[in-house]
Amino acid sequence: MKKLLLVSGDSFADPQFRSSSHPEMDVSWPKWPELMAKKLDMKLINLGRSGAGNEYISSSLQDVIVRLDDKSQIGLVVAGWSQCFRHDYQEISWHGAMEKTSWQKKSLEHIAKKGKIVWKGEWSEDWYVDGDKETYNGGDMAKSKTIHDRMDANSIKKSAGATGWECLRVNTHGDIEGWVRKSLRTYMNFQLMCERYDIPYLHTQMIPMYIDYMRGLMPTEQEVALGATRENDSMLPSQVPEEELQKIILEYEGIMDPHKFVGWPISRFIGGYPLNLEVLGVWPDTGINEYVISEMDNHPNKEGNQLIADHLLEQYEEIFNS
Amino acid sequence: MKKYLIVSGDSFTDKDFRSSCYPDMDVSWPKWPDILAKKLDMKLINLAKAGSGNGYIYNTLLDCIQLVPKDEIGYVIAGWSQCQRGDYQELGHTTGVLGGLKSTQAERDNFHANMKDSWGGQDIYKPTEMGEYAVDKRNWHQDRIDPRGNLPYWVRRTLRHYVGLQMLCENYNIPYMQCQMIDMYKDYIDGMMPTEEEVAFQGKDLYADRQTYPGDAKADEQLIMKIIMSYDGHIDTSRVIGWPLTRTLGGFPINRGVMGWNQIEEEPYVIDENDNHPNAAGHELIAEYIYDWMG
Repeated sequence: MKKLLLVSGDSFADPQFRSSSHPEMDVSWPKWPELMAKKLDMKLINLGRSGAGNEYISSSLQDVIVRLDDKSQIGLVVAGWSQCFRHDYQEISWHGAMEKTSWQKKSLEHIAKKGKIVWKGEWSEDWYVDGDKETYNGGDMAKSKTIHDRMDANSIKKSAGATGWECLRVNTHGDIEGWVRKSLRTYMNFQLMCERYDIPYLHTQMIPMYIDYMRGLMPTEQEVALGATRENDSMLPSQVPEEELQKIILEYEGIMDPHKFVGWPISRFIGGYPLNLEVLGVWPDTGINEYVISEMDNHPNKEGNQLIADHLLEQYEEIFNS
Repeated sequence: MKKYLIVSGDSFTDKDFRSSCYPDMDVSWPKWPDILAKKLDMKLINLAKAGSGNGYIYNTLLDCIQLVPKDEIGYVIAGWSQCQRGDYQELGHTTGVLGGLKSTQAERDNFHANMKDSWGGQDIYKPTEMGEYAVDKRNWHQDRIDPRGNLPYWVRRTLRHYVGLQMLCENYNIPYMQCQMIDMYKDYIDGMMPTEEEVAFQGKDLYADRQTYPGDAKADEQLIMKIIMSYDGHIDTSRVIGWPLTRTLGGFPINRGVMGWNQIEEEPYVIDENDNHPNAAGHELIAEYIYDWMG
């Protein structure tokens, strides 16, 4: 059985990515997670979601990983971290929870046998909606369903409860230093989870963690397409010296595994890099090139996605196959 | 050499707890972490802060565990709080929150050496400086109700913290325990009551002025039951006192399960009917319960 490549991230990883600046453009080229999965001969579970922040990325991975009883099914996990100032939260509804039922049924029965349920007996039938019975192994409620029976990413997200996420572009609470620190804890949390379960992993700052905020957040590509201008509609630059954020990152030196964090320590001024800037070669002072969609949209194009996949594969080979 | 007992939590665990309705009351009795540390013959690092939510509790433990040499940690305890609270940090350009997370190994070694000197021989009943070093509470802020998300999400977010703490401690082979110190969601789904301070000083009525739950309470509670149960088998419940956390499922939060479900009428373990924080006897009882649980 093929091992699983589990990926989460923002628009750079999103298999459903659409260009906001060029909504009519055909962007159906293979994204880097798909290219990696093909090369590694693994089955891909891609949880990437446009606009997502780091809490989504971490939580979506944890939600799936903890529910896999046999962690050895996982061949590799990759987290492509996003901007630290985004804010993720969930609006969970019954719909997502019911989808989770079938995957969890064995567990629910197990709990019931232990006699913990005192929910007045309502749970035994009521907690399974008709849809569950129809879709769960063709009605065979006794048969356990595995993640391999659910290779559709949406189905897996629902099964793991990783649905109903919303994202604010800028967190309304806290400040840039607090958000940097929060993201670094999230990265630590991811590292600890993978180490605990002995799961091969890589993570990287897929796009700059804080630069866009520090320099004055520009209108989105969609807002620009609708008439906003970068000159008139950008936020004011932050007054916090960038060195302070670099100091916070460096506090995690010696704690974060630099081999498995591609581009550590994140900022080029202290020897690291955000992956898109380094690999695609689109540093703020170098401008765009042939690996991004356009001047309006700096997401990777087909060749750019190949470059990102190659870079991560190179790290994978060096760490896990050398 | 004595090892460290590291705890985090909310007002039930805060060494600097003050009663909101009785600001002049002397509440300097030993809190359960003090008593437990003495029983365990460990040095105490108490990171708890009144009003804090579970984000604060998890992140302060994560920060502190990174800071302290792992072989010097004897036990870690999380006393989880209400899930609807929202925590965030505003450092305001004052870095150095984690005094110990230095950029080089030499700096870290030096820091640890200095800290050991400053903690050595301390009476555990005196406030330690460790909490101030490990976590600057002043730059953490809380919303009583997180302005984003809904109750099922906040429950799930808390359960993710349970998993996170478990992985953290298992990864470093640190003995740990976690418990719901107060009910995770009941106070919110039943309609948030005014704070003790609002009742005492703003004339609000505990019942007449309670908020209305902004959803379908019955349906959401069923969903919450389901979310909690979905973690059974994924959380090491042998390390959780009171699992599955809520009375509806047969679990309990510490304050109710240990001090009594009808505290005021039957158990003399809380300050009074206006302030249900544990009094001296309540803290003794909680410490004793946890100590016995540890075996």
